[in-house]
Amino acid sequence: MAPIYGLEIPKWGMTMDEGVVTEWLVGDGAEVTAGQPVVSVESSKLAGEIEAQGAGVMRRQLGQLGETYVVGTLIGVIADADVSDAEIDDFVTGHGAAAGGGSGSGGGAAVGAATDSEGEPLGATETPANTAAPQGDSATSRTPAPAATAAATSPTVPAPAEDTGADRIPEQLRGSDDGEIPATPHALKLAQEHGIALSKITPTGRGGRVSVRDIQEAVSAAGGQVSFGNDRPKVGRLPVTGDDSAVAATPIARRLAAENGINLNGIRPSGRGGRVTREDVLGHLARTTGSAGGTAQPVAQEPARAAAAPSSSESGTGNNTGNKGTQIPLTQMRKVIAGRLQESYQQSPHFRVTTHADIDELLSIRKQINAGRDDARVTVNDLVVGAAAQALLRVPEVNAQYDPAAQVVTQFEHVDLSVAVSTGEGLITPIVRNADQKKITAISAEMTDLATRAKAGTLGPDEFQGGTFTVSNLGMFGVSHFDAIINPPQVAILAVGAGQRQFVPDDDGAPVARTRLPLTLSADHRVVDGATAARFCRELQRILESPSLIFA
Amino acid sequence: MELSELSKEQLLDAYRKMSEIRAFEDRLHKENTGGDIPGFIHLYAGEEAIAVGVCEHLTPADKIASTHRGHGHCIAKGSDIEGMMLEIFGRKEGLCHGKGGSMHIADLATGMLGANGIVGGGPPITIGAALTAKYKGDGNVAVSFTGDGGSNQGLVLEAMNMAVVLNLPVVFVFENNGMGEATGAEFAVGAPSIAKRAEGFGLPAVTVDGTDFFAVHEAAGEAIERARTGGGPSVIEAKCNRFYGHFEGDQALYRTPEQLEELKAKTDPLSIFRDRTDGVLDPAELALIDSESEQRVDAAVATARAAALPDPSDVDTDVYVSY
Amino acid sequence: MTKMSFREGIRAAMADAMREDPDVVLIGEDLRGGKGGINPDKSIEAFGGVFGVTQGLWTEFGDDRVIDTPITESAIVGMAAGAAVTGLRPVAELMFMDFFGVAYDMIYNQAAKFRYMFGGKARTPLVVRGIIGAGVGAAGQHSNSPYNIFTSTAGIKVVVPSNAYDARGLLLQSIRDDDPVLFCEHKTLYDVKVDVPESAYAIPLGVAAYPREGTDVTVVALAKAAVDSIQVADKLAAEGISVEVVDPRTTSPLDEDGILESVASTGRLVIVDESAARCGFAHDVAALVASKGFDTLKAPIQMVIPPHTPVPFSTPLEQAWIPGPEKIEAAIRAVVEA
Repeated sequence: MAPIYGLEIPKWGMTMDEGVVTEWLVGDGAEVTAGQPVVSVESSKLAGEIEAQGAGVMRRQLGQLGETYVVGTLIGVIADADVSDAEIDDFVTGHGAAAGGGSGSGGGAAVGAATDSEGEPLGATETPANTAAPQGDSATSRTPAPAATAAATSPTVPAPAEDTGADRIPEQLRGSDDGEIPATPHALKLAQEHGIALSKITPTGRGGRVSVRDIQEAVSAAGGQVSFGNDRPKVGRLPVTGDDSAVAATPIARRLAAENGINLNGIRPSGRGGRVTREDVLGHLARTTGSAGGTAQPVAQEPARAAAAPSSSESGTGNNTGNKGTQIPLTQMRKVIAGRLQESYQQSPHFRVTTHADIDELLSIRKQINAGRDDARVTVNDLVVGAAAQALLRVPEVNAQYDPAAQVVTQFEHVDLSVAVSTGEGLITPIVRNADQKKITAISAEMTDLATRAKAGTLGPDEFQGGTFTVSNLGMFGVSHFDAIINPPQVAILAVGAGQRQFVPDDDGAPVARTRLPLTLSADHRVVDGATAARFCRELQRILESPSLIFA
Repeated sequence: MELSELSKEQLLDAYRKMSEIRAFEDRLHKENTGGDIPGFIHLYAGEEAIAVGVCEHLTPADKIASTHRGHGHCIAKGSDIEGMMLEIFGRKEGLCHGKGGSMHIADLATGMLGANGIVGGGPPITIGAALTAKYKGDGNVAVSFTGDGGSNQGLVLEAMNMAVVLNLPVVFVFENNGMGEATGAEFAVGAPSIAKRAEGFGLPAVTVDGTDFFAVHEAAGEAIERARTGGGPSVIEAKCNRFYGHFEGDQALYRTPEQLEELKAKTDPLSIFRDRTDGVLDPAELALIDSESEQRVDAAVATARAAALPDPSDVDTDVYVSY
Repeated sequence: MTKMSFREGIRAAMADAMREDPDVVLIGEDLRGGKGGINPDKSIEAFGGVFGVTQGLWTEFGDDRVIDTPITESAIVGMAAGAAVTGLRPVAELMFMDFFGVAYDMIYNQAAKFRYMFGGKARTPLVVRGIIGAGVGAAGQHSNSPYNIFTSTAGIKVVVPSNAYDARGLLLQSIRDDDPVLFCEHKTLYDVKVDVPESAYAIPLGVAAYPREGTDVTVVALAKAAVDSIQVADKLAAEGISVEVVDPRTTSPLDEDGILESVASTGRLVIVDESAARCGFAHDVAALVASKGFDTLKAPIQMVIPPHTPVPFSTPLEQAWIPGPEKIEAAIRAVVEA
């Protein structure tokens, strides 16, 4: 059989997830030679041409001008004239692209389009591995096996099928992977079908494996939806029924829920005292129906859209020595961050207290927790958050907010702990409510959820505004220590560096290796004194070094 | 003659351990009646000379496996009594974090491979420790403690045969206190003696007075030396009495209170030790050791009572290294 | 890549492990064989394991590491457990897994519970190998597959491979693992050859394989049942019935996601299991899917399991007992038509 050559949206760099077809350089049905440029494609950064891999006739032009397609999408087919249309159709179908009816009228896998009427993702037609028994393994479930898992080793990335009716994959989760992310076979298939990047999914499976559920939860957290197999449209959730009159909710939230036929039992509350807020209801609506009201869009999501393509300029803040600068307008989120931190640093006199905690015991407890519970993935940060919450109970002066206009300090009974999370667009501080009353595993699970949703930009305002204290941890970047700017109206912030193995003298003066965690508290001297800050640091150190106190 | 071979320090150390075991067990007998200790407790009082007489020859790298009546073996092998007391009270900071209790106290750091709730469970594990020592050629030995009840268990007999076949550095100590639960060894051990039966497996076996520290110490020294130098396994049957019932709560109807008083008067290993060292050790010094033992046990009980219980969320930790 | 039988794969894994770690020793009956025999040639391996699995290992590694013992299962497993908790990495062989009955205390009460009873302080890197499976007329005491009993025991892991590739990688992982592992070898598979890499590799425990991918029905099967299920899947594929075969490979830990996702994608489930008619592995998987994947099911779960009897001797009786290919095919047809 004469060869058939596919034209695909290429991947020109690590960050390229999709491309726009800007021009067909040859006509449909034209003869082309090997190496001849046939179509122009642009990514957000680059423009280029795709060449024919072999000689033949331009048999299909599937890519529509101006449309955006995920990397790997089949946008055209070149083959000899004597190759039958049926063979071409088979090739297109086998490729996983959405082939249209007649020649040249294919729809392609346009990003965001939702037109497949069959409901079965076409990508599922990829050839199953059909060798005897061996399945691929080394460190993970799906490193290519000898003679198996053709899908994983296939040189061409199967093109994402069109999303089925209700499926919507948020932009930020789109992309493809190099096959190194461990995933269950169905998770891998689902990601390939929908053009989802497994690297952007938080895994919960054994050994860090991504499951279908992980994908669904990430997609849902990012405001989208993806159905799987026989499990649609809901994902193993029991319908929420029953009297919800006793559920604590704000009056507006209750009315909004009633108007939309939502049972309050099914909504995760984020308000003070566990109340369901208006934002919670809107967020629930967005997740379940995809029709969120304008205000349900969390502010953190704005910058994603506002971050327009950088524009080149020779004026403004650039220098005039010929070194051209790039002007990057601040996103809305960045403006807020800039304003608040400037205000904080200018208005509140910061001072810092630094200490270290020996965390070897803490690390061994963490290891025990994670080894003993396959659902636990407790991080050092989770334990620091738990310890800080306990320390704050003992030093309530630091668990406070200050209102300079009223000259009033409010000390809180419980700890609503803000944790700094870095997102693509900037810093955000989601809050672990009542952290002093939560088990470490609960804090850990909540942090995972908050961080996932922070990155997806779907936190409600109540979830990142109104904390009583902040923890900022740059330990994962290996910094030896740092200090942080207070997050007003809070009065203090804890900066956590990387634990370092150091020799310290034991009681007899002999060196022993300990893991020491650097801790720096920045406090607002208007309302917190040095001795108070030191007391907090000592409490925190004591708890971290006798970690049973975290659980006491 | 054994007596003269031991330094004063060694003698005092041995007595300190025996005294600590006695104080520990007497105190647990009292504490247990208060109902604050969960589960089953089996007390070692009356058998102190055996654990101490054997373990005085062992290093922390040598291994022992014990029985359900294991407190004495732990203390003799060097376990911390506070960690033990915390464990027996089911506290989070106990030696086994409240997951084992009296019947499963283990202290791998001191070479104590665990008390064992299965009668006869220790010897097969002990020959494994002996296999490790033999394979690594490190000169270490392993010792199992088993009772007269355990001596009849099939897996104990299997372990003795395997030890002979593979010439393992192990000593099987049988603490014959005369009763397996409420059934006498007279009835339950079919052979003329446990040692006689053991000889049939092809290993050296002796019977000693288990209430006499010096008799045990001498026999154990010989057997352990044989094991260390490649001479293979041995058996020591040490005869003794237990001063409390099989478990705390046992009415001990298999003997009369008068009989028990007589046993205590005639076969108390601590009195016998004091008598044997008369003229060598100062009785006032021994009395001081007894009162220090009681103080240490008092402190351990106070610490245990005040200590935190485990967090319920720890119920499913420590099952696997990874899962 | 080379063709290797199941037997050769297991042997290769033990040799791999012994070459990489001097603390790995083998303990069991007749691993070499011939000790105490009257043949003057003392270099002969008289048995090399009852099914020849350990043939050649004594010649390579010698008496210190390939330790022949008397027939004394309690002492074999107990000694291995004691050696494991004191620093060796023993692989004990029970010969026929049915014999666990005479050694079970050392698995169930000792090795499995050390770590928990001792508050997480013990590490017991022990592997117990044993032969499972009906099909060769070995009758009541040499044919059972009691992996269900081990699976229910917290503290041990259970591996039940279906081919040489999996067996080699899973056994090496089991030996490297710091927890006690029961490794079950189905006796009818010993001569079955598949492609296996020439050099050592490990497969993580708790990750299912999908030897066939399909869309109509999920078949969960282990060991010989997985091989039979693949054969049936290939036959039915010709009729247009698309069968996904999921081989969990380990029953503890169990790849719950791997099973639930497959069932969610097909909506139908057949479980093939040789362990037991009651409280077996099939029942465990059925309960998993019923409790966590109920609303993904389009039809009732089918279990292909033996009757509630010991394994019989005579061939027609034994064939009636085994959950073989005809029964698997019938169950698939029933569930697809349901």
